[in-house]
Amino acid sequence: MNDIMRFIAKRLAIGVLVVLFVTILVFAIMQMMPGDTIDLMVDTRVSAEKVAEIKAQWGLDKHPVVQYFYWLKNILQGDFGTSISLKQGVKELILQRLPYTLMLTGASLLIEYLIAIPLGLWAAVKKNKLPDKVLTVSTIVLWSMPPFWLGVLFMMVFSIWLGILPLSGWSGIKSLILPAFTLALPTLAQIFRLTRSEVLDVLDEKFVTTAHAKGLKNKVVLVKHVLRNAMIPVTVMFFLSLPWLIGGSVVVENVFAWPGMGQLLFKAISKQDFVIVQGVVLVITVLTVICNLIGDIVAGVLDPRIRLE
Amino acid sequence: MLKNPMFLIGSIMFLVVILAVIFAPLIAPHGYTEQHYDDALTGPCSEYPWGTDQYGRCIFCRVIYGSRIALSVGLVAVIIETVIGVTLGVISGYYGKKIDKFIQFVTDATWAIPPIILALAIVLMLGSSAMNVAIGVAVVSWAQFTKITRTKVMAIKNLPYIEAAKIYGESDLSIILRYILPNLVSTIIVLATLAMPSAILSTTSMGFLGLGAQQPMPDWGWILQDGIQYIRKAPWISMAPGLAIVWTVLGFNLVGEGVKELLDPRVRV
Repeated sequence: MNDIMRFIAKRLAIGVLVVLFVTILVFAIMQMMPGDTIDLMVDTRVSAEKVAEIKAQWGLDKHPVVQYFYWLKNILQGDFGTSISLKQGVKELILQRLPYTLMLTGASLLIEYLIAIPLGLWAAVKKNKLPDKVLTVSTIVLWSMPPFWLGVLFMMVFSIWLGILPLSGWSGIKSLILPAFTLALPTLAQIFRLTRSEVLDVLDEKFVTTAHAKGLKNKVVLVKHVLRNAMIPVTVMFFLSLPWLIGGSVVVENVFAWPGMGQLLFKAISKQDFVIVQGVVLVITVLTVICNLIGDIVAGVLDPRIRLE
Repeated sequence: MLKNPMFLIGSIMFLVVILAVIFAPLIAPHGYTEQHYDDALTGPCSEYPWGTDQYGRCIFCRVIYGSRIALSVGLVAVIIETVIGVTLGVISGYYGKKIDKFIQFVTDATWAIPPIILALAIVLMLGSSAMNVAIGVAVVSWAQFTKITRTKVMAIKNLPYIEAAKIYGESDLSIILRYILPNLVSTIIVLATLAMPSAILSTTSMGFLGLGAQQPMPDWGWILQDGIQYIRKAPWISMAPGLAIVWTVLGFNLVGEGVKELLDPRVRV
């Protein structure tokens, strides 16, 4: 138990370093972008004195390093600051958008795992036979599809030709279907392959032979013994891909005009609104660190052979 | 190798793309910027095989010429990420200790930012151009190269002939260049081949978000984005460049599968 605590503490300490590193990196990149943030706030007709006054009011006249520490100090007090371009609290903006992004990524992860795991198991059992070959080739095809094109294709077929699903935006739960599938299908290939190769590895294990020798039914062996063990890396993968999906949905959110964090972040980066960018990146990075940690702990709990280093 | 059907089909698809890149001016019936206002938003016909856009530009020609941009930007991205990744991997593996720990930390920390977001920020910092898109994508994708070269170098560096070279007083740089890098060449080539499809997907995603080759250059991602507004009237505008991306990326992926199977005997039975 003590070992686990020490492991968690060490990982959390590294996590804090990662978060600091990432926010500094992103802050530096935003500072180095051409153009001045102030130009996005005020009209060119505004007098120089007025500009200086506004700059002072927003703290933009300070040295970037000082600005970063101001930002950090406020964050530690739970204050995410006010967006420069939207003139709204960043915390409110994030809280407004986060549920939509979590809904989209959650639904897409669910689709991915519900389809990929049974297919991966099936392909492994039928190794090198027709179903395996067909599935392997189809997942490579899906893996080669740019999500933005898949999204447009779905819009055309299901919204315009068949007229059964909403085109874009958010107008109830039906709006979720197309973006979720668009996000899920190309990445489904990874989970499929992981499941397939893990199941193949487990099938070679001695305890599977033992289970068969005990006279257990094939189905029971596959689900209770093989799948259960093969699921360990897949579960870890689940936690690792969670935060990545949040950011990765930028493109899909853009296609479907989805009111999530990806859209917010994309617009903020193009408008150089570093207050929003910093806030969103902070949330994503913290989620990443936590999810990675959970992934490691879950791996240890599920498989006692994995020693925590 | 040619007996592997995936590799064979992939190579043929890849060959088609290469032919389009080389012979674009011969294949395309019009120039990629030629505007025919009278024929704006015309559907596929004999004059315009894949229809026209809102300016009456031939979509087929734009997609064919676009292969040059897609392939060269993807290739430049892969070259840059190979250089960054291999350099860091070799330093990390060869010197070990603190410098290794530091590089590992930077690699892991960079992974904590969703790649497309970091790439976007970098491209906007450098200014939107095809070259900068390649740089932005490369900066977020080198980790794979670093991890694998590092492990390889750690295995090679303790071999007797490298120990001998050290005793003879050869400098680290000379050892790396003369003895270590040649051992890595085949690994690097395979990694680069496998990195190409995702580089094309990432760079065209950037184009889709409006970053990259300046208008009116035929960037596949941007043609697709631009066509969405006419999706009801002229769906071919968005469909054509998308199909071109799928074709190219699939070709590379199939070739990559073949190469992987060839190298990993476990996969073959």
